[in-house]
This record gives sequence, structure tokens and C-alpha cells, in this order.
Amino acid sequence: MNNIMKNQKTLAYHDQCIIPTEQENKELAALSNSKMSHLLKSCALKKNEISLENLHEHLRVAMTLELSTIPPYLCALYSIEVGDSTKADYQKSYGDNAEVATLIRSVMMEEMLHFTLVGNILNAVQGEIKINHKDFVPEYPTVLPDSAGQFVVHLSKFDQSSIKTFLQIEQPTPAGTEPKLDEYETIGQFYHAIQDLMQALEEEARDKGETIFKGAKTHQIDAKFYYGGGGEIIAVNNLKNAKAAIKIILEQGEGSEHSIYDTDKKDFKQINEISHYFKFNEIYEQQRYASCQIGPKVPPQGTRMDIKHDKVYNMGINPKTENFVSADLKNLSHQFNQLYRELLDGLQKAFTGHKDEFLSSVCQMYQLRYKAVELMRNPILGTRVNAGPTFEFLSDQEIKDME
Amino acid sequence: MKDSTEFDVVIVGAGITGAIIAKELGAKCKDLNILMLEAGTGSGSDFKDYQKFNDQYYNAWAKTPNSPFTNSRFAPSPSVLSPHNIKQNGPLTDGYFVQEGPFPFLSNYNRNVGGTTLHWLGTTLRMCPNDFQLKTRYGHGVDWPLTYEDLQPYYRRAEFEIGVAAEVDEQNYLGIKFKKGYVFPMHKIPQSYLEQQMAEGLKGLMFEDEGEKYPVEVISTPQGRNGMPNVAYVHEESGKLGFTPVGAVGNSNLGQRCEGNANCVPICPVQAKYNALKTLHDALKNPKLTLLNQSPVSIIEIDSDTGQVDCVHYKTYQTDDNGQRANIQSHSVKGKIVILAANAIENAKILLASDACTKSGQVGKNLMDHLVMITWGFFPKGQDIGAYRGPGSTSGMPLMRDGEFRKNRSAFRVEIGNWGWNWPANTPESTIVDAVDKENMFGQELIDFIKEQTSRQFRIGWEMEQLPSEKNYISIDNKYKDDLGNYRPIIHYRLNNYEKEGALVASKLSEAVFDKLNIESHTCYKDKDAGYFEYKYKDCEQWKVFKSTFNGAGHVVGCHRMGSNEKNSVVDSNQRAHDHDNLFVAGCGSFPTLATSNPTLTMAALAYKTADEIVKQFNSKCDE
Repeated sequence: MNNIMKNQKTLAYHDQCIIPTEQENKELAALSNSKMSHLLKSCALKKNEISLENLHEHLRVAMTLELSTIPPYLCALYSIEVGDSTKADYQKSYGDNAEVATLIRSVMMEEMLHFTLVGNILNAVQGEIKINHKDFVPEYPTVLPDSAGQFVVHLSKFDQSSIKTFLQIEQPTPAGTEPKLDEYETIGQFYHAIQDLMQALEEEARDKGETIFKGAKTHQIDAKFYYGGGGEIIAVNNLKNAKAAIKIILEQGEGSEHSIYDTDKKDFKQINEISHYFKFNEIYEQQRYASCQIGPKVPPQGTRMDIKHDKVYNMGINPKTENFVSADLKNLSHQFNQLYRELLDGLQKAFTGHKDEFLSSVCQMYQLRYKAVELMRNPILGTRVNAGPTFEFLSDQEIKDME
Repeated sequence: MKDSTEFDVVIVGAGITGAIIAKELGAKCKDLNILMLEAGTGSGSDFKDYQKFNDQYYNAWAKTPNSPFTNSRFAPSPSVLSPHNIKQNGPLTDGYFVQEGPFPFLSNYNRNVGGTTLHWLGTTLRMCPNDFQLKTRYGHGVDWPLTYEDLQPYYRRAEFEIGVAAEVDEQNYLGIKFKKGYVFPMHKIPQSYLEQQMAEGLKGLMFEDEGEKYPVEVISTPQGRNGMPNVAYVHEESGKLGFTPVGAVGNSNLGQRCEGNANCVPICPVQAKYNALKTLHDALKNPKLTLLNQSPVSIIEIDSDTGQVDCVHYKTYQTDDNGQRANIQSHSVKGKIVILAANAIENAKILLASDACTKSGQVGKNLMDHLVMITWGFFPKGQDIGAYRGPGSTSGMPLMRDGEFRKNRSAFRVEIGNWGWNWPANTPESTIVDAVDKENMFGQELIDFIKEQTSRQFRIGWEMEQLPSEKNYISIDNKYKDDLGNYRPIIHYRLNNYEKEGALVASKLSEAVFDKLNIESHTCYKDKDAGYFEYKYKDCEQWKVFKSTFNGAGHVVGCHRMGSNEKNSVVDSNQRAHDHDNLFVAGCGSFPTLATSNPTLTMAALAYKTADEIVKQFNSKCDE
């Protein structure tokens, strides 16, 4: 977007991570035909079409957007070795790696919450859920919109560049972001467009004494079924709580432009928590913010963080099963993708009235983790990198062929 | 800190009782300066601490209840590996306890921040109404100075704090009543596949005892374990609808649901099971609460004029990395109110060492524990019961918890175990070792064998209520001290025929259950077992001998019983010491009788009652 600023160092500190480098712009251009670009573009084209079908499509794409962030977080998380804290050389060998893993995990859980919230909205307006559908399963590398434009997201082990990606994902959405006419460049614009669509459709319906929020209450995922943290789930049945859900998605975990601290934790008794974006920045800079720091426009100035990049499984970037050379590794990768497909199938069922499916999803997620780590431990013959989870979508036919 | 600093409140022990009281006082009397002294290690708010416990557990060769937790020679915890069969009179002195016998005390506890809730199973049964009136109803033990009705509101608060998962319509048996419209914070933890099969298989079974017939039913057990929140739950004080499960301390996104790691004891790897660190974490948000670890209390000093506790003496220890050299210092602090909130045995030890609460002569007396008899066997070939999955126990059979039979023998709770023969035979590890070592198995044959064996392994626990007795008591002696110069508890302990008779009936019920389910018994008691006992009884005019083994339940109860006056008891129904009006002695030690429920929930309820009493006392100075 901003081709004049070629040297990142000339940028203000807080923009350095956000404004893409020349290299990144090239990658972006190369991905202009990616699945996510298409989805976003086709949505943008129909932006002014006020129809329920269009809202449904927007929400399905939003689910894909949220889902897209999870595999990259998983890859980074599972690649980090946390070590055995009872060993005498633990601190020396593993440093603060466990802290990094904990952070990535908690941010990832927020993305899962966002995914569920969008699913609830889609169900509330009687849209068709398409989670285990080839068109809506992310492919990597992909692009994602953020507040400054689009950026590229890879499946990658934990390293400086993956943290930079996470900074982009978690980057605050400036207040008053307006939807653009031709294209959605930012995630804020995208969700604001959804909000406008909902509003217009609901007003239209109300004029006829109707509502668009007619979805089955039984399909809503509430606190009983939503597993784990990331914040509070909202069951959606009207415009007001649909907007509240979007507000959570847009604001959660992000710092403001004025403070490095989490703004949504207002309880005065609570110790101020640094928001995710700035925690990632601590990891990126390998230095913590000092307790006296508040403003986001200077680098962290507190104690050094000790991150051991050598204690990370050396997973290659954007792995593909077909490149795994040995039959054993390919087989392992197929097993992983089969589990991934089963998980997507389970989620599809859970969002279409069979909430009990969430229970077995827990086991599947553990199995995914074991397989992912197994892949990451194994080097690919003839290369300098290890395998990793590919998150490739297996069609029904491909699964049949494997059996 | 300067010595003899004065605090408003000094709490001794950072377990569940201390944590609840500290949290309540912080919330309701904001200006109080509170000091908490903990003998062991830990911080109460650091996720790294807990991860270290996990790693210590993974590394431990014997996975005992205390194996994940740091043990210091300056504040040692008892170990379940220490007790042996006491053949001759003469104390067992290895380990932390000094066991005078004649029967060994088989339970332990944990001395670290978080206390024994770090390794509890999480069972949160309420007591039955009749449990509070054992003397009046059945002529044994004593009555409590309060009733079930009195304790009900405190039970509800405890169930919120711990986060209890259960269904009211399954728990309202044997006179246990709930407030109209009450629901537990979370829905029940799903019962294991085994328990579902048992419930099905036992349908129609009646057990006859003393001419009465009892239906044998499998009922889910309330647990302090994160499950699905009940959206209809209403918070007692705020009126807020719904419940948010509390995750791991310092990493709240972890452990918001039980994941079925099947490792609740000794350590839930994700903290889906409640532990007192969670309450403490909240309590510590109060900047006026100071928690000092590695600070075991030696004595409390009583002012002979006022009869009040004047100050608390404690020692601190800081060790170097290998634990060899230590910097030990003595300190004392004053407290307007002092609360002993350590384990029952530790509370009694401090009182004895301080010559406090002497009027009733009851300090240290009436030590109790549930005496657990285990029976085990194989389900029929081909019937996979899914052993080793899920929490340690999710159901029980409450039929023998209360009834007229308590006039003649002990009541007991029946706990269905989900982890095969892990408790009695250290399976599945031993299954593998035996197969490889004795049967020379390997490869696919070994895998098939392990699958076939472990999937059918079943055990069930029969937990006898022990009566309070003056013969079961704690004493101290200058001969036995720990490395800090604090007393080690000397335990005098024996069994009554009341409990042995209970075990005999339990063994008959066990036979009936095994028969009905076609379980092939592998139960085997050896006279070298630490808790082995024999019981002579008359059956049809014939003398017979019943042989069995008891295990400890980890339910250390009694030693400073509550009661109506200073002559019959150490504390009143608010756990305030009769003899010293600024001293509270709180915890399971206050229970006058044991009942059949696991004691933690009742202990937590009592902690709320105590907290209310202290809030009331400070009321004039508090900003409400």
C-alpha cells in the first residue's frame, strides 16, 4: 500500500510492524488470487446488495476469517518446546518459552470464541453453516485483512516473523473505521459492513412487523456448551446482542492507541493486564514493558525476556503433504488431515443443532495436537526442515480413497 | 518485616479454609491488614509454580498423592509410603509422623500454599441431616452444635466458591434438602461409561441388612470440577445469572472444563479441578493481604491476664539451591484476631505446643479418618468397561450413608473407582511389568493382553465412618522434632469394633454387587498390609474371623472439636476457641463427628460461617 516507505526504520516505532515491507508487498500481490482474496472480493462486490443471502455469505466468510487464524497459532504453539522445569539447567535451556506458549494459547482461544460468536449470528439469522465445506476452509499461505490493509499469513513454527504476523492479527482497530466502497481492506470494515447489513435488513423486516433473527434458539451455542476461555460467549437472538457479539470480536484483547493495557478490564481491583498486542510486542522485542510504561509509542524498556529460539521444532513454512518425500510422513500427514476433517465435521454438526458434538471435539483437538507434534519432530528427507501439520482439506472422496 | 508488627488478622495456613476467610475479609472489611503464614512453599498466584508441580509429578518414581509437590525438611508433609503394619507396640518414626499405633494412621496431607486441595479428588458431598445428631439419633459420638439447616446457606456459598458440578434432583436423598429453586453452579460431570453400565446392571438389586431392604442404586457424585455451567444458576449475593468456571491460576484460559485427563489425584494437569490457589489468587488481589510462605508457626503465645492470644511465633527458612544450607530466622507478630487454619493435626500440634485451649482436655483428641476398604475384580471377558478414563470417581452408592443401622455399626459411603486397580494394585503399570517380566510377552501379544486386562479392571471403595474416640489422639514430645525444631505429631490410633462391623456389612454388599454384575473377585488382603486387621464376630452362634485391610482416605478430621461449651469442646459453632476469645481454630479439626461425606465442602461452609463472625466483630470499623 505505501510504497514510498521502503525503509522500515524511518517509520514511527508503533508502525514498524504494521506497515508491510517491500518483500511482504510482493508476497501479497502473489496471493491476490488466493481463496481468501476471492471470498473477500466477492463479498465486497455485493456490499450494497441488501439481502439476507448476502448477509449469510458475509457471515460465512467471517467464520472463515476467524478460522484462518487458528492453524497459524497452533503451529507456533506446538513448535515451542517448554522443557522440564525440575531440571537444574531448565532456565538456561528453555528460558521464557513456556510463557510464550501460554500467551499464544490464550490468544488462540479468543479466536475460537470469535469463530463461535459469528456462528451464533449466522444461526440467529437462519443462515446455512458451511464449516466443513471446501470453499470455506482456509488454505495457506493466505491473506487476512487488518486495520492497515491486507497481510500474508503462513503456517510456520514460532519465530520472529510468525510473531510479526501475530502482531498484525492482533493490531488494534482504530475507532471510526469506515467501510470503503470497493473493497474490504480491513477487518473492521468487513465487520462494520456486516453490522450495517444486519441493521438495514432488520429495519426493513421491522417495518413489516418482522425480524431477521428467527433462527432456532436450540442452535445457539451458549455458556453451557462453549468450551473454555477466551471471554464470554453470547447467545444471539436480536440485533442488540448480535452487535454486542461483533463488538467483542473487534475489540477483544487489542490494546488501544493510547495504552498498552487491556481496556476492557475496568475492575479497579484487578492488576492491569497488558493487552495481547503488546504482549506479542514484548516477545518480538524480547523485552518486557517496564511497570512505569503506559504509552504504546515507544519500545518496551523493562527487563529482558529470554526466549530460546533453538528450543523450537524446525517446522518448514507452509508444509504440504506431497512434499514430505517419505511414505511414512505422508501417511502421518494424511492422518492429521483426516482428524482435522473430523473436527470440522464435528463443528459443523455442533453448529447445526447437535451441540453434544462439542464434547467429542475436545478429544479430537488433543489427538490433533499429538499428531501435529509428531510431524514437527520429523525431518523431511533431503531438506533442512521438519514436517508439520498442513491443514489441508480432505474431500469425502479423498478420505474414502485412504480407507 | 519488623518483628512483632501488629496485624488485624493473622491466618495460619494457606489452604482452603485460610483462603476463603482471607477472601471474605478482604471483600467485606476492606481496611483490615491481614497476614497469612504458610509452612510450605508456593506463591498462590504463579502459573509457573503449578507447571513445576506437573513436571515434578512426571518425574516422580512413585506417583503418591504428595509426589508433585515440594517437600521441605523444614516443613515436611506426611507420606503414604511411611506407614507400615505396626506389629509390636513401639512407634514407627520414619517419615514425618511418629506412629504409636497400635493401628497405623494411613492418611496424609499437604503442607504448601493451596494445602491438601492440591491433591484432593474433588468430591463435594453435603453431610446428611442426621450426621449432625449422631448421639441423639443413634447413641454414638456427639451431636454437632449446629444443624443441617443452619449450615445450608454456607453450603451454597461453598458450592459457588469451589464450583460444584451436580444436579439437585439426584442429590436430594436421605433427608438432604435444598433451597427451593436451587441449582448447582454447574451441571453434573458426565458419569463414566463404567458407572452407566453398573447402574444398568444393578437394576433391581436389593440389599438386606438387619431386616431392612435397601435398593442398590448408582448416583452421580457432586464434584468441585469444571463442567458445563448451569445457565439457571443464580448467585446468592449478587443475583447474577449463570456461572463462569474458573480456570487455572495465572492462566485462566486453561482448565475451564474437565478434559478427562484421568489424573485428578495427585494433580489435575490443567486445574479444571478446584484447588485453593484459585480462591487465594482472588484473595491476594487485596493489597492489604500479605502471604508469607516458608513460615511455619511454632507456638501462639497466650497473655495470662487477658486470656487472649498475644502473638504468633514462627520461623522462616531459606535454603540454597541444593537444599543443604539454610538461613533460619525466628519472628513473631501480633494479631488482633488469630486464626489457626492449618490441617487438623497441625492445628492441634500448635495448640499443644502453646499450652492453649486446655480447659476441655479435648485438644488433639478424636482424630478420625474414613477407613477405606477396597474390593476389586474383573468384569466378564468381552465386557469392556472403559477403565482408566475420566475423573477418579464420578458416582457412588449412597444407600448406607444413613439409617437405623448406625446404632450398631458404622455407616459407609460407596465410591465407584474409574481407574481400574490403580489404588489396590498400582495398575496399569504393574499389569505391563508383570506381563513382560513374568509372562515374557512382547509385541502385538503384549498389546492385546494389556488392552484385554486393563479394560475390565474394576475396583470399588467402601468408606467407613470412624467414631470420635479419646483413644485416637495427637501428642507431642521433645524427642520428636523436625529440622526447624518444631514438633512432629505423635499419633495414637486404634480401630473400634463399630467400624469393623461396618466393614463386614460392606463386604457382604460388595459380594452382592460382584455377583449381580458377574465380577470375578481378585480382592486380596495380606497380613503385611499396613492397614490389615482381623475381626472376630459371631454368625449363627459360630465365631468367625473377618480379615480385611483398611486404607486411609486423606480425610484428617477431629483434634479440636466444636461443641456447646468449654468443657466438652475446643471451639464453638463459629470455630472460635472457648478459652481465648480472639482465637479461631478452623478446618476439619472442628468436626465433632466424621459422617460419610468427604469433609472439604463442609469445611469450606464452616469457613464462611467463621468469616461472617469475624466480619461481624470488625463491623463497627468496616466500611460496608
